[in-house]
Formats: sequence, C-alpha cells, structure tokens
Amino acid sequence: MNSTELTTELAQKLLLSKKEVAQRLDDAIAVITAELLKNNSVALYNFGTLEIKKRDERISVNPASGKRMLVPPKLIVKFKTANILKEKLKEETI
Amino acid sequence: MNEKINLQDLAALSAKKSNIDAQEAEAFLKELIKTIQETLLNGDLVRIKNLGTFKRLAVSARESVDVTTGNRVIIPAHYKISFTPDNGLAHAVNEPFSLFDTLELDDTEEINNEFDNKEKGADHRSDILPDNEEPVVRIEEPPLFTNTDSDPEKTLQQLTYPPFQYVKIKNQRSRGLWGTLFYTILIICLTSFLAYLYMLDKTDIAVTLLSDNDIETPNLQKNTVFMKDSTAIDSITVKEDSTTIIPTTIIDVPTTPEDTDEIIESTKQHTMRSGDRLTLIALNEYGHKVFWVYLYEENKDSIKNPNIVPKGTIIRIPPASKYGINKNDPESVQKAVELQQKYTNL
Repeated sequence: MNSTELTTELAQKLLLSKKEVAQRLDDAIAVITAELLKNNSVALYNFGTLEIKKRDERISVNPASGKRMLVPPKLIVKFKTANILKEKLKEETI
Repeated sequence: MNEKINLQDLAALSAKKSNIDAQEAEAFLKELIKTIQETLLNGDLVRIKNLGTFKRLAVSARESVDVTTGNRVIIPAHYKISFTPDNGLAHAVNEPFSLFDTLELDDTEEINNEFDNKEKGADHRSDILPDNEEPVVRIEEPPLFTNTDSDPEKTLQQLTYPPFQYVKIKNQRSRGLWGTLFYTILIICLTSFLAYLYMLDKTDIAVTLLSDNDIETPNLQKNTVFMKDSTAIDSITVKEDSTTIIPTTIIDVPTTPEDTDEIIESTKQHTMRSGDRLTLIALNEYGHKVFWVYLYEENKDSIKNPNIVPKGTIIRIPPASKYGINKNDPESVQKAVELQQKYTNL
C-alpha cells in the first residue's frame, strides 16, 4: 500500500475528499519529521514510537574485495513497536 | 529536546498546521494509525511518502535462555514490524553526522600521510630554500640598498635590515669554521694513517718521517692560505695551532709502540686479598669476567678450587695474547664460555 492507496482508503473511512486527506497526511508527517529533527520521540498510540538513535561507527569488511571499511557513526530513525501491536502480531500464526 | 510527543501533542501541532480542530486532527491520526495497522496485520506493507515504509517481517523460531530460570526456551516464530525511513528523512536526521564518509581502513593511514606530506610540502620548500638560496640573496641585498638609495632611506633600511647583515656575516664565519674543522679532521686522518704505516715499517721510520714532514707542512700552509681567501681570520690561528701540534704527535707515536706492547705482554702477578675473585680480576685485566678461566688455567698448580682461592695466594696473570683473549671478539668470548662450562661441571 502506498500513499495514494492509503489516502483513498482514509478518504472513504472519514468521508473526506482525497485532497483533504492528502493535505492532512502531509501536515501530520511534516510535524512528525520536525519533531524528530528536534530529537523528540513521537509516540503513536497503540502503534509504536518513532525516535532518533545513534548508530556507532563500526568496521565492516567488504566480502568481495576483503577490504576493511570504517563505517562512520550515523543518526537513524528507529521504530519501536508498541506492546499492544506486538501482542497482536503474536496472535497471528505463521 | 528528548521530549516524548504523544498523539495528543501531535494532533494539536498538526491541527495548527492544517487549520483544523484538534479533536478532528486526533480522529484523523487515530484512523490513520488504525488503517496502517490493519494493513500491516493483513501482511501488506505501507509506504508513506516523506516518512518511510512499514513492513511486516516474519521471524523464524529460535532458541533462547530464560533469564530468571536459566532454562532453554524456544521463541516461536512470529512477525515483527520493520520501519525503513524515507531517504529524505534519513538524510535530514543524519544531518549532524553527514560530514563523515566511509573510509577504507587500509588506506586511511596512507591518505593521512599523503595529506600531511602535502601540507608539509609547502613548508619543506620554504625550509629548504632559505638554506640554499636565501643567504645568497641576503648578501646581494644590503650593497644594493647602500649604493642606490639616498641617505635617509638608507638609514631606514639599515634600521630595518640589520638582522640580515648579521646573519650573513655569521654564515660566512660558520662556513670558515666548518672548513677549518674539515681540514683539521682530514689532516688528523692523514697523520694517523701515516702513523699506522710507520708502525708497519719500523725500519724506515726516520727516513719517511723526515720526508713526510717536509711534504706535510707545505700542504698545511696551502690550506691556511686557502682559508685566508675565504676571509676567516680566526680560523687561521686555529689552523696554525693544529699544524704545530700534529707533527709532535707523529714523532711521539712511532717511538713508543714496541715498549708499551712489551709492558702489556709481560706476565703480571697478583696477590689475592679478601673480596678478590678470579672473575673480578679477569674483568679488570681483560675486560670480561668470563676470561677467569684462563687465570685458573694459568694457576692450576696453586688454585685447587676456582671458587675458593685462599687469601694471600699469588697468582700469575697471563698476557692477553697467550690465550688469544679479546673481549671484542665473540669467538674468543665463546671459547672462554665453553671452557667455563667445562670447569663448572667438574
């Protein structure tokens, strides 16, 4: 499901125009991004938390050439699944 | 900073942005999350523009250990949600660390060295050039100023450039001194070589000494003349001193060697005192304590046990040449060590 499909479904559920939904979605994501950049974590109730984490630098070896590379540290967006969602996922059988 | 933004905060913020009611925004967000969740639980992925992709991944069963009981447990296969941020978001978030780049480790040192060399390169040039070229420039500069410029300007330049002139004179003087040093070393080498020759051919000492002295002194005078040309007045006196000293040494050396050698060669006698040990005597006489074995060999008749030598025993100290003792020769030392092992094993 991509953004357009999501917008369509939400528009159906909320009885709003696609344009309106797309606008609200964009705004919500803009707010989330802005908060993340401020190093705040964004908790989405019953779904999970988006937060910034620092990945330490590490040495990795290129398996093809055997060369050792120093991968620099970086900041990433980490998604921590909420416990409720985890329980729901557990219920599903593989 | 490090605040936790919950759904209500998020709704309030996005409501402000979208110019809608906060409750409406919250309802929208809840519906959004619900939809995403449902889609994910159905096994579909959700790609949201400018945010990222949520995906349901299967995790296979694995064995683990219960922390509290220490028993082995099998974690059953399950699903998990993975989130991959959108490229734009990932880059925006990593902005503070964006200056770092992945480096190949094996080349990092070389790269650094090259970088350093490049940096130093400029400095090196500026360091090297002055030694070779600047003195010449400095010599040329002051006369130019004195010749061409008018008086007040000249005085100004003299005020500003005195260090240059001073350096110039110093350089010349140091060169003169270096020259004298070089020639004195050369002369010393020559004389020592000649002395060595005299020791080889003792019969011709007198003749060669005289003739060589005649040859040597003019050479030196030539040197001093050369030094005069290079305007080092102090060095000439030094030179003359050295010329006077060196011939005397030449004469002294050939007369003594035979006598001194004989003195060293002759057998000495030593009376053992309290605290004396063969090793200590060997160390004093031959420079290495391992040579005590030769002292023992020489005095076997008077020494019964090399570890216990009675006080008052007179021992003969043989000349070093008798047993080929040479502390600088590893072979000689090795031989002594072997002998030592032989005696200590007895």
